[in-house]
Amino acid sequence: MKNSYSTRILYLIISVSVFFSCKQRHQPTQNQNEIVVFSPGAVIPSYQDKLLNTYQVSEKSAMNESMVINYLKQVLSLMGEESNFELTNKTQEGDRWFFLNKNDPSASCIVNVKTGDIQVNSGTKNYMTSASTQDLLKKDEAVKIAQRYLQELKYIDLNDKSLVEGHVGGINMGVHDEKNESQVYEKFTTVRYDRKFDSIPVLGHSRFILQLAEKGKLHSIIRQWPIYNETKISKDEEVVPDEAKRAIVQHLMNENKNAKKITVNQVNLVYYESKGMIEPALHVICQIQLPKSKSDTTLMTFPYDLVEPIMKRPRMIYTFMAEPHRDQPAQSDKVDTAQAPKAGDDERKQQ
Amino acid sequence: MKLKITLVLLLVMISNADKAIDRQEGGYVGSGGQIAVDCVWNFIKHFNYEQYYWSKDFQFTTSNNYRVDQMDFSFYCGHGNQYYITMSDDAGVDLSSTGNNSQKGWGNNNCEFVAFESCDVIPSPIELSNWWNNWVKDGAAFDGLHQAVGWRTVAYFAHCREICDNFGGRVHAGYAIWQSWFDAINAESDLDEMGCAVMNPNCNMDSHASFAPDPSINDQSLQVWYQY
Repeated sequence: MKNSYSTRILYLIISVSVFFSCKQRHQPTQNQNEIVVFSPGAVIPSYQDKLLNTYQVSEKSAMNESMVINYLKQVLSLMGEESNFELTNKTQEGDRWFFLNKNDPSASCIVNVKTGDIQVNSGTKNYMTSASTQDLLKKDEAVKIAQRYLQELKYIDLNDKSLVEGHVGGINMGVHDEKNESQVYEKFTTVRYDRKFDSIPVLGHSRFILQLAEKGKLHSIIRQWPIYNETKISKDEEVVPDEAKRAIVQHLMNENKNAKKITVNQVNLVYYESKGMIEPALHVICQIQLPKSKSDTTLMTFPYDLVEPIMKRPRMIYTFMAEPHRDQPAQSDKVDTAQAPKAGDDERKQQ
Repeated sequence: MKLKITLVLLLVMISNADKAIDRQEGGYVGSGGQIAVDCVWNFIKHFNYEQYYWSKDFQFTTSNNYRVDQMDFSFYCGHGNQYYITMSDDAGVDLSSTGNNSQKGWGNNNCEFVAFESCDVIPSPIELSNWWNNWVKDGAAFDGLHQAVGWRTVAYFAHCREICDNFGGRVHAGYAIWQSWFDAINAESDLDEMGCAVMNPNCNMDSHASFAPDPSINDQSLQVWYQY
């Protein structure tokens, strides 16, 4: 009887110490779980049953100088802007060529000779008055005419299954004057097309955007539809969903060290696109709560998002990774107020 | 003599118009982790910039004449909310009272343009019918400032390197400011992200190369352009 009692006590002591040692070992995870919370709708999408690819921009996307001139002449002529841009006079920054309209700095014309991107805007100079643009098209008409422009420019292939309607919106102007009166004017309609590969949305660069003015006049256009070469990914190259979830929690904590709570609201499977590459990834959409300041612990809520790779060895730079820089931000804990602040050149001219 | 001077000035203006633009630029990195560093870098790398700092509240408030308002163009990235940005130490700056100090708001010393690569900082008439007051009232940011560009909605970090790079290239090339901001957003953002820009109505065609005279500190008129 006595023996049995001692054994029971011994078991109890062992159980309690095992319980506390386990609890201590898992303490950091519990802390993480207290800060990062997945809302019921935020589940890791089932990507393991899909055949995923990576994509690399094809050399076929590139344009030489004569192709650039021909493409620009065609689109500028359709916009009635051919005479406003001097195509023989460009400034260059990497793969991007910039052409100016000397009479209107709000007009722009840019090509990327590597990816074949074309971005042309005929400018806002004639749309700055306190009045709405006459005869702006409504949604259905705007989509129809946008499609007609894209076909006329031979920018789209109607059999291209990756092309999807994105959004129809626009640009408005609001004015508040010295008499304390305010008014809103409608200026442009915008039609956007996005890209999907195998029903997975491309999050990044690929798109067509057309901005329309009076009676559907083509006011600006963005063509970003590079040709991609695809490579199949084997399942061995992918992380499993549990690992992806752990990595998401880790990256959310690392990037928001002072956050008191991080709520994950959505995890979407996407093809993440940047700098001529595409990889499958998870777009994690959250809200974070930060204290207002060190002395004021009132919590403020901010939107936050993160892109998490699915591949074990991603080649792209993700949101939590550092890009190589030639410089880093400096600490600035005080300013030298003994020296008077310098005014700019334009202020000195006015004095 | 006058004609000669005019001709020389005209020639200088024309030759400047052909060159890329570089004046005084500053970058300020707020909260948000590594991506905020990269976003600011992707804008200022286009220029021979003067300032590149981890952001602190005094740069925007009590010492703004030595930081944000010492630059012609100040660029910030970090977490944001309506009229509110967070610093690298997570402290916040309420932009509706940022000029409530002896150095006033921005523009009375030097600054023409400010960009906020942050969610929700610039509400449009869709979000608030009284969208202007917190920018131009006594003690607010606009004290001679020409334009502030940013977002009326969420601004995903997923694309912000590309948006800031695109925008920086355009500003450097001499294109107009808010128009470049909208073009850069159109080129790189997701479909639920919408840009917004507030400005003095006389400065709505400004570029980094050429801009209107500074509005007076007491000028309360404001224009907003916004995407929807």
